[in-house]
Amino acid sequence: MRIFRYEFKKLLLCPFLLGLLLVFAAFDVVMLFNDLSPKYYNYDGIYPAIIGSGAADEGAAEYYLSFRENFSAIYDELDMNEIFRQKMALYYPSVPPESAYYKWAQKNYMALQERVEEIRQTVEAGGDFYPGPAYKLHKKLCGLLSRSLLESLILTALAMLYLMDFERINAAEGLVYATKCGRSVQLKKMLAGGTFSLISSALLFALPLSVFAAVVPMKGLWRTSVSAFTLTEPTTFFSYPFVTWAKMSVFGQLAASLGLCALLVIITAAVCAGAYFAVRNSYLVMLGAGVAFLGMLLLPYAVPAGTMHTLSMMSPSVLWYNSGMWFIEFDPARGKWFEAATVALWAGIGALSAAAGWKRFKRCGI
Amino acid sequence: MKIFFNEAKKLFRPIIIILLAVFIFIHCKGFLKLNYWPQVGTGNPWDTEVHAEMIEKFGPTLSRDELPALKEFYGALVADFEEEIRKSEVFARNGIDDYEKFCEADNEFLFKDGLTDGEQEIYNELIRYRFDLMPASELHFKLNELENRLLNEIEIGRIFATDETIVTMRDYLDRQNPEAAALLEKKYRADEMSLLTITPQSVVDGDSLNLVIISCIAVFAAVLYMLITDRLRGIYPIALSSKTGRKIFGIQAAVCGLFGLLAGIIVCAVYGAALMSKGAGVFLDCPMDNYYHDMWVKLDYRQYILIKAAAVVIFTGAAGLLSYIIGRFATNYISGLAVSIPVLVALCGAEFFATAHIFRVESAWVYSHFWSSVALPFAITLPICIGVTVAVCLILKRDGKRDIL
Repeated sequence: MRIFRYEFKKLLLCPFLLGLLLVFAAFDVVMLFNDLSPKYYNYDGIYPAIIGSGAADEGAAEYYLSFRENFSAIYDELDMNEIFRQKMALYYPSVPPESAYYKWAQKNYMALQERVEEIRQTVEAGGDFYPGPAYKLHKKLCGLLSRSLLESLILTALAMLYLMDFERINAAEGLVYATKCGRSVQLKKMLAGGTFSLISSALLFALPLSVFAAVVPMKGLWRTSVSAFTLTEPTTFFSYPFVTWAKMSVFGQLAASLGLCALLVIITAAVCAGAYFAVRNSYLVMLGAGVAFLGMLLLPYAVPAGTMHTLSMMSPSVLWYNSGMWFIEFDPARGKWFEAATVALWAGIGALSAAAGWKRFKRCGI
Repeated sequence: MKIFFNEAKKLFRPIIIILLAVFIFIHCKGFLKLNYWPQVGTGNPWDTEVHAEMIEKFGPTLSRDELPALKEFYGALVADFEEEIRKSEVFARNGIDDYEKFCEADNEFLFKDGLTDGEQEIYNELIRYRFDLMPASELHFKLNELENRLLNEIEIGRIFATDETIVTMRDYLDRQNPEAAALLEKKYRADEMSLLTITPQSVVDGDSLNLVIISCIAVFAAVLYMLITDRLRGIYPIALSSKTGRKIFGIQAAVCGLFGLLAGIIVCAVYGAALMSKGAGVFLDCPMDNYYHDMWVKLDYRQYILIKAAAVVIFTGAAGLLSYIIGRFATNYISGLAVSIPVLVALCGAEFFATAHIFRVESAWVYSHFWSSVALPFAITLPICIGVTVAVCLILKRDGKRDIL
C-alpha cells in the first residue's frame, strides 16, 4: 500500500499532467458555454412551460405548445422496417437482401419496431423536454461526453506511461528491478495509474456536467425517456425520435454512458500498460497508440459492408466517435449489444496484454 | 556542417519515420477533401466540369460582350439534353419533348403527394433522367449549374448589373457597411466575371488546415524524440562542457526550424502536385472574386494557393522552433507530449483563424472592413513567428553563458 501511495503521489504532484488536466477542463467549459449559448437560448423562459408550473416566457410557452402539437404524431407513422430499408439503401447498398448479414440487421430492426410499439403505448413517447429541433440538448450533452472522453483517454495514456517509464527515464532500472519486490512496483504502478486515470476522468466529466446543470434547468426532466418525441433531433436524411434498445431515461442514458466511459478508461490504461511492457518506451507507445486510434477510427470505411465491417467497428475509437448514440438505434451495422460486445472484446484484449506483459516482465533479464 | 548533418540525421529515426508514414497515410486517406474531388462543395462532379469547359471556351473570366456566346453555349447543352429527352418512351407518351416541358413536369411532380399511376411513371422517369441516366443526368446537372449560378445571378443583378438590375440588390447592399457596399456594387457592375467554381476553392480551404495538422504533428513527433532522447542519454552536460559543444544547441535549433520549413514545403509540394493531377490547373488564372465569395484583395486562384501554402510553411516552421523550445525543457517523453498536445491544438487553431476566410468580405466585423480583414492573418501569424524566434534566441543566449552545474 505504501508503494501504491508513493506512486500515486508521483502523479498527483506531476505539474504537466495537472496542467493538462486544467487546460482540458477549461477548454471543456469554454466549448460547453459555446454549445449551450445561454445568450441565444432562453432556457429559463421555456422551462416553466415544459414542466407545466411557474411563469413561462409567453413566446416560449407558445412555441412549446405548437411544437408539441406538430410533433406529437411522429410515433404514429414511425416504421423502423422502412427506416431499415432506407438506411441499407443509403449506407450499405452492396449488401444483398438474401445475405445472412442483411437478415441479421433486419431482425434487429424488427425488434426495434416492437420497441416502437411499446414506446407508443406507454408514457415514454410523450415525455416533456426541451424541444429537440431547436435546443438540441441531447446532442450538446453528447458533445460534452465525447470531448471529455477523448481527453480522459489521452490523460489516462499519459499518466500510465509516465509512471511505467519512470524508472527507465531516471536510470534506476538496475536498482529497482534487481529484486522481486522491486519488480512488483510495476504492478502497483499499473494500479496507481488506473486509479489516477479514473479520478482525473471523473473530474473531467464532473466539471462540464455541473456547468451544464447550472446553465440548463433540468429539475424534473432527467426522468424523461430518451425516446420521447420532444427530444427528436432531425438530421440531414432522417427525422424521427431516438429509439433506445431498452427503456431508458435521460439520466439513465447519461449514467450508463458514464459507466461505459469509465470502462473505456480502464481498458485504455490496461492496453497502454501491456503495450509498454512490449515496447519499453513511453514515447513510442504514445505515438503508436495515437496512430492506432486514428487507424481504428477509419478502418470501417475501408472494410466493405458485412460481418467484417461490423467487427471493424468494434473498437474504442468508433465507440468514442459515436458516443452520442450509445444504446440508441443508429446504424444497421450495430446490434443491441454492440457497445457491450465492444467493451467486452477490448476488456479481454486489455487484460490479456497487461497480464502477458507483466508475466514477461517478471521473467526478463535485468 | 558535419554537426548540422549529424543532428539532422537524428531526426530521421526509422521507427519514427514508419509511425509518421502510417499516420500521414491514414490522415490523408481519411480526412483530405481532395479525395472527394470534384464533388466538394456542390455534391456532383459536373459543376466543376462545366466550368472547366467554359474556361476553355471563354478564358478564366467571362466578359459582358461574351453573353451571347454564353447563351449559345447554354443553348447547345439544351439541344443535347432535348435529344436525350426524345429518346424516352415515357416522355413521348406524355408529350414531353423539349426542355421547357421537362422543367414544367419536374416542378409539377417532384414534390407532389398522392401521384396517380401515370404521374408516378413520369416521376420515376424524371428521377432517372436527373440522377441515373448518362449522359442525360450529366447534361441536366450542367444546365442546372449554368441556370442557378450564372443566368440567374445575371438576372437578379449580381453579375453584369445595370442601373435597372442593381435596384434588386439595393436592400442587400444597404445592409452592408459603406466600405463593403461600395466594393460589392463595383463587383456587380464589373464587365468581367470569374469562372471559378466552388470545388477548387473548398478543397484548398479545407485541406490547408489538414496539411498544417499533418506537418506540425510530424515535426513535433520527430523533434521531441530527438531532443528528449539526447537529454536522457546525458548528452547536454557533455555538450555544455566545451565551446564547440555549446554551439551544438544553436545548430540543433537551426535544424529544427529548417526541418519544419522543409516539412511544410514537401507537404505542400506533394499536395500541389496531387491537386493539379486532379484537374485544378484549369482554374489557376481565374480571379478568386467569384459568385461564391467576395474578396477585398484581387487574387487569382494560383496566388490564393500560394498564400495558403505559405501559411502552411510558416506555421510548420514555427512548429519546428516551438517543438525545439518544448523539447529543450521537457525532462521526459510524457512531459514533452503533455505540453505539446495543447500547443499543437493552439497552433493549428491559429492557422485556421488566420487563413480560413482570408481577405474575404463577410458579415463578421473583422471581415467586413478592408484593413481589419487584411491585417488579421498578419496579426495572428507575426506574433507567433516573432515570439518563438525570440524565445529560441533567449534560450541559446542562456546556453552560451550558463554554468555547467
